[in-house]
Amino acid sequence: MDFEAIMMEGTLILKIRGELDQYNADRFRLRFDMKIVSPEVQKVVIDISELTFMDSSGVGFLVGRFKTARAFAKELVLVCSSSYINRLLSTCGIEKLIKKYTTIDEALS
Amino acid sequence: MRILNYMELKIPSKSQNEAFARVAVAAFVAQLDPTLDEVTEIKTAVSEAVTNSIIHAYEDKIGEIIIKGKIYENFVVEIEVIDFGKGIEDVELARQPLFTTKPDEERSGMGFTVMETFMDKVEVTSEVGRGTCVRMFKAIKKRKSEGVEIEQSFPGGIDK
Repeated sequence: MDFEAIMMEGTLILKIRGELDQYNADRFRLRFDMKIVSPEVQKVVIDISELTFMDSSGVGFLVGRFKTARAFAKELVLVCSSSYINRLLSTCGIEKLIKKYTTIDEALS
Repeated sequence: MRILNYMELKIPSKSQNEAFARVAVAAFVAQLDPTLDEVTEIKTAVSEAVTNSIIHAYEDKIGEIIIKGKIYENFVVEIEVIDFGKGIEDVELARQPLFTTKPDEERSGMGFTVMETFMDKVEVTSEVGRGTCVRMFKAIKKRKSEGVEIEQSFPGGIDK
């Protein structure tokens, strides 16, 4: 797994690629949180459209980052266009907690 | 039911082995010519079971995980994930959605729910202090190259 961080007028876009499982969740947790809590960030968009694999540990990771953002009074939303990952997210009921969009443009507007 | 092929894999409970375990199972299942969705569902279920063994059964210790795969003649795949860790006190409770013994560690508590959603049948046997066995079945319903539906039954009947 790797990720790209882009800042756009107070919005931090975190684009994740590869496989989000327990192993990678442990490796990336702190790095994501340090970016999210940075003072210039007002809103966070995590784009998981290019993930090739995710399991419920990945869902736990996303909920964890949502809680970090919420603790610092920041909005966090997801972008996901993969039908498999959308199915996993809805199985885990994540849509009740975190807003989800199909494109970055929708998430930014 | 006749077994057409089988495999067995033994790995230490290191989290970097999660990816290896699911990819190895996917490669084993590939001979049935499953669709991409079917492969991804099996990979996810294997990942959940192996992660449970690493995080819950062995916690901070390293123990052994055995993964067994069987292919039956009616295109049903059976996967077993076995550990010799601390075991599950109440299996029915552990299978409930959102149940977790580690709420502080970002565990979603959805591992068994995901296995049940993505596989056709999931059996869990566990003994405290001895270990846990997760046995999962999935019928490969549509072969990618042929696009035909196949009638299947599971050992012990269908029970989702």
